[in-house]
Amino acid sequence: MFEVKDHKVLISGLDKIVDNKTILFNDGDNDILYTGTNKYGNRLLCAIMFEDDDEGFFRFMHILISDYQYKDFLNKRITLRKILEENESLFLIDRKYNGEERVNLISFDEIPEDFRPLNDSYCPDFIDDPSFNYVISLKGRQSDLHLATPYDVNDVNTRFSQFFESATNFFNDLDFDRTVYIEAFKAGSFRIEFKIVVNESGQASLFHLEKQRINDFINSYIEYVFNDLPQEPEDVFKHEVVQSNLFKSLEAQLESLYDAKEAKPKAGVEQKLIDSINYAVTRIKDIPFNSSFERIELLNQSKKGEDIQLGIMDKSFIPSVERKLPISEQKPPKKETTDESPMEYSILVYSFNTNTGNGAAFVQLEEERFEKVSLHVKGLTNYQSSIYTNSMDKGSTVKVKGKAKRVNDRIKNITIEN
Amino acid sequence: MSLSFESLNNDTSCNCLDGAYPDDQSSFALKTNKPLLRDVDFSSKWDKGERPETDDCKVICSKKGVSLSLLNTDNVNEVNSIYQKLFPIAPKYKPYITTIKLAATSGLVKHTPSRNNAYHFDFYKSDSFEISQIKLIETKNL
Repeated sequence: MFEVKDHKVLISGLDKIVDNKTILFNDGDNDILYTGTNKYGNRLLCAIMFEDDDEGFFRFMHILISDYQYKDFLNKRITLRKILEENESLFLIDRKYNGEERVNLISFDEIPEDFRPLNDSYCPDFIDDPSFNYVISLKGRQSDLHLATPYDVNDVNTRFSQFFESATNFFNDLDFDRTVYIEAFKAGSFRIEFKIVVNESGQASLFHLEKQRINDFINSYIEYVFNDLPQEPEDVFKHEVVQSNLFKSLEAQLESLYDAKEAKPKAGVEQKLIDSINYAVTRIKDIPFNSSFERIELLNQSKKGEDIQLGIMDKSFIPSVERKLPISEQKPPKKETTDESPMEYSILVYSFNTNTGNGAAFVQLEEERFEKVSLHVKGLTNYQSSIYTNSMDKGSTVKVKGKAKRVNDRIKNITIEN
Repeated sequence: MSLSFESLNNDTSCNCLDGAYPDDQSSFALKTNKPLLRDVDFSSKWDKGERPETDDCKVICSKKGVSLSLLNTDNVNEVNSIYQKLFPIAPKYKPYITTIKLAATSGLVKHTPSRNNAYHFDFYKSDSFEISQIKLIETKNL
């Protein structure tokens, strides 16, 4: 126990968590490390200092911190001690066993050395209980006044929906199906909530186990993209095999998911992951940081409803990663051509709608080379007993005359006018 | 021998003893403020006057129990590391780890693992609990 001179707390409620409380570590008895926001929306990082069981109270430190300090603390890039040294002041909260509190605003210098967090006071590894609910929180500028233009909000909505879809495209390889939903806006808040709904046919017991691991992987993936990738060397993905331990750790997580399903992506897990990150970052690379907001905080909601920060994106993010990914490479423009007059094609129909005349078929390019194409048949009075249904029923090729549309020299569809 | 738990049960309808059992053979770790055992080390949050805002029995029973961690030859380093990783954050918060054995008359334990500590137990004192029944094996600085 130590005594400090009383100071006035100038603004009431600045020290008190009223929203978004997240317990980062509880030792079974007490909350050791926790965070949340005060009634002004400022983030507080809080840690226990000691328990005086003679006088019957606990002493806590509540420190006002920026989102960036919080991100660096969670990622073990800054210690609690360093934050205190940088911020210089903190709230000292004495909480009696009966709940009464006494608050004092003090400078870090007033804390005796042996009560200060140590030089290695990094955030301990804590295990949260993640869910498939993600939050994008717009921060800074007009968004702090709960204002943003509809265009900006819709733009962020769309781009992050695509980001989550790209980040989870490996689900298809694992026989999972997933849909990304945006949940309804909450009044007065610039939190956009996304829910990833995952389904799998059969093997329910395995499904539960893997869902947890998939959830952990997606969170690690987002943390890697927003926290680690900006720190990686520029040639991180340019070696034959990626050397980065951070990337390899993420790759191992993904590989174990594939192993559980006894599956492997065609291009290998490493390339799958690089492609996925590339596509995901491409989706959000043009987000405009403008008058509506200056940064975006990405959060995962734990099953208890607590927000766990996964990363922060601001205008420095894309420049810090784009040279490491092939996102800046320009794709050549698509070359589209259509037959000027009907040409003869051999097709094997495998799907046909007898009401619309639309379907799908394999088109024979060489003796044993087929490609999937869309089929549009027009002008028949009866599609039900046609050469198309016959081809489908018998599994045999038929010769047709139609106009093929090609994209980059590949046939995409054939339209047949009768 | 049947233990009574009137003081544990008299102000709650929760059955905290469901799943609890006597264990006077195992060693348990207890975090303490001083390098000696005192009655206050066995005061639960409930004993200290804390009342949760919820009527969830899981929460209430956790407040009524005293936190211990099961120690055995295989996990001693792991349990120590759980406590040690908090030490740099709060070097004056319960800086001692004390190894004890409970007595058959002192109460019951219940395994209440958390994601941070798989060896966490709640200890529910019986009405006949006395600190002199507890066998102190070792006290170490964290």
